[in-house]
Amino acid sequence: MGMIVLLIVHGLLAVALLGAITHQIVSVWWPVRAPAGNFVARYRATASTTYVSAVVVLYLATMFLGAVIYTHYTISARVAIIQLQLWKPYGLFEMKEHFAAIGFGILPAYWYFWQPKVADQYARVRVLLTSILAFIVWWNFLVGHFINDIRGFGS
Amino acid sequence: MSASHRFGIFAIAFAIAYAAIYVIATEMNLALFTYHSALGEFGFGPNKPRNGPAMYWFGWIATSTLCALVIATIVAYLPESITRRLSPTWAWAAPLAAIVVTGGLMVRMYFFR
Repeated sequence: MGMIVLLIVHGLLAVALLGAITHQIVSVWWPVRAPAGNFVARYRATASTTYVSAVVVLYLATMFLGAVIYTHYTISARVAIIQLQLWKPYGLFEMKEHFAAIGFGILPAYWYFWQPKVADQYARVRVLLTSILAFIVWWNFLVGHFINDIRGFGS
Repeated sequence: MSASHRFGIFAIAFAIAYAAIYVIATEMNLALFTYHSALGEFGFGPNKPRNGPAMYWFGWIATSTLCALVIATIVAYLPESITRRLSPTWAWAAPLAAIVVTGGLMVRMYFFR
């Protein structure tokens, strides 16, 4: 029961992280040049800088809870996935594991290049670091959801 | 050199060192510790499985974090004439390369078996 609660909280944090990083990535790749009018323009016109600390904290919290759940996954769902020889989903989850760890190493640079003092000078670095982090967050969210559908909560 | 600039050098060096060491740690299994999830026990270094799966992921992250912290701290205190050569491009290029390498290895291991 405890792991199910953790899995739900992990999922909710992941949704919040996904929302924050997606908002930020849209605003850096597709910025608004004119005053925002409709919903899409307002979405693009967000102040991306305000998301930086939230993304870092949410990433760490989501990863921490994921790591706790991972200990249970290895003795439950993973065993079933191996027995069923579902190697492609197994490989996708292994990638999620590695990508999450690599994303952790990006966080100090991501935070630094979003600081107002250097943000304009290193705009390209900032955009690419955010893009890598967004890719990791989206990948991990989708794969986590997929694995949960195969052998997770409610299966 | 200001504290902010020094942190920038640290962050770039950390991103590069962490990505490189993580790939090496996973390939050579240089886990700082092992977690035996079925027993709820930790073991120092990469242990063989004991009555269940052995988890090295936490150990790989610990190895990479510790080594990258030491390397990045040293780099941050090097003279500016040396750190000037450290391009910020590497802060995203090294992690991207690590993603491609680990992703490629996983595809080879699990998608073509």
